[in-house]
Amino acid sequence: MTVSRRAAKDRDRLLVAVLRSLFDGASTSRAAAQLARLPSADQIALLDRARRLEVGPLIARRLLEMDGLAPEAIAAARRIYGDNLARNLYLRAETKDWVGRLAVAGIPCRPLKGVGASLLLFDDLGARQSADIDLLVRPQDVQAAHALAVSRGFAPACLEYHVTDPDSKAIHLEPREVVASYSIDLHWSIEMPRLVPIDHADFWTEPPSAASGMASGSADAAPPLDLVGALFAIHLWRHGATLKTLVDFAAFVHRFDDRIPAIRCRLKPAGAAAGLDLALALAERVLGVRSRFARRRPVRSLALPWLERCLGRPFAERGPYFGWLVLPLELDGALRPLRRLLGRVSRPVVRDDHLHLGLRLRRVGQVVKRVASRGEAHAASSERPPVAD
Amino acid sequence: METSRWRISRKTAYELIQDEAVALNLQTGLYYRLNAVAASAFDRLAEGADVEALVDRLVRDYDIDSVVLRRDLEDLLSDLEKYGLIEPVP
Repeated sequence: MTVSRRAAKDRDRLLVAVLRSLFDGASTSRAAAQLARLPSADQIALLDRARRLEVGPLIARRLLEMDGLAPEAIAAARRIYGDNLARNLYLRAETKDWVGRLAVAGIPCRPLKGVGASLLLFDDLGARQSADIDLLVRPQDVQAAHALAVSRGFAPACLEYHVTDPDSKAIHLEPREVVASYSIDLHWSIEMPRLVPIDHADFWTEPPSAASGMASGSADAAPPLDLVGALFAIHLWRHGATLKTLVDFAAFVHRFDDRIPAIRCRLKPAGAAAGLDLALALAERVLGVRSRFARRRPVRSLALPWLERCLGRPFAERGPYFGWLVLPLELDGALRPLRRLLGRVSRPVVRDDHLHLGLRLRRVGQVVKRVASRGEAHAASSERPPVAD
Repeated sequence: METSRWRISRKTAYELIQDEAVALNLQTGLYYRLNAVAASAFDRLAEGADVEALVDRLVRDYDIDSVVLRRDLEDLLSDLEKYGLIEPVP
């Protein structure tokens, strides 16, 4: 192993140790001692690595609480945390604005994850990094919500996307004719219905709970906690087990462990309870967060070392189909993952209870072709020299 | 200082964290970091305190010389107004 690779590995170990200290106070002094031994350039490199893994503000905040940070690193950490807090203040105001505008248009809406999750999981608006605003509306309101977003200068990122596609879960909207530094994911389902058909009707029927205030700190739009926990578990697999999604899930378990049985009940009918058990095992193995309701040795625990290695790879650097390798791990049984993935890939355009074998085969062919061409494009872009250092 | 009472502008979003605060102008996107004393002053402005009451309170809480505090506070309020984070109450 080269010196630089060993240094990178040590840095990643320290990063995880700092994250572990969020959940286990006893490990703080060990992480702080390791941190204090690092030269300031390495401390700044640690912050940069955390930023690439989408946990920059959380690590920055934690490091600022520890002794042994060099003045340059303190300045960098304060900047990372302050920038994120300011951005989250902006996103919180924008989320509130969207919820208000949709309500005026008669469209009930629930913010998903986002800045509210930072308060829910870490009691700190600036701790969690949010890229965009996720809004959930009822399926019958999607067209109207989409039209409202378009009228406010947002447009679908992908023109082929069909707002009414019942197999999809959301439409990604980018700002086009408006100055906004965020995109919007307009959801009508919390997961692709054919892959994980989870019932999320309680987002609309459950009485508000102040503890789960994911919506800009407002209890009015707060979904039930176990549904929120299920969302974090699903999100972990949907994002191919990134460090950020694992920390989110672990923080939820750390705070609301008593909700785990209810989350299992929600995921079981969707055939995704195995994902919860594996997520709990991963949270315990990597971050030391142990649930009282974890099942000993889930069958798929063989995948844990590989998943742990995956955590060190930033989401943006994973390649277009990485998520599809990880996602089946959340589905129960041996054949269900294959069946669901095939069902997703070969879904018919026409829905009339006929088999449409030709259409399905043609779709599979198109997907295979797309995978191959994206794979080539990905390989070509990896070989391209960097534009600048 | 001519104005004795200020309020947080409606286009300002702010958050107190531990012993400091970040105040963001939602229109310009500029944000201002406030240290412990400034954060405390900002929070009290949000509650409607006037400058005199603010000085009295901060001198008590932070054991700072009142002349120095008054001068720093004037600078702070002037900066916050310049960035559109607070506005004078007529």
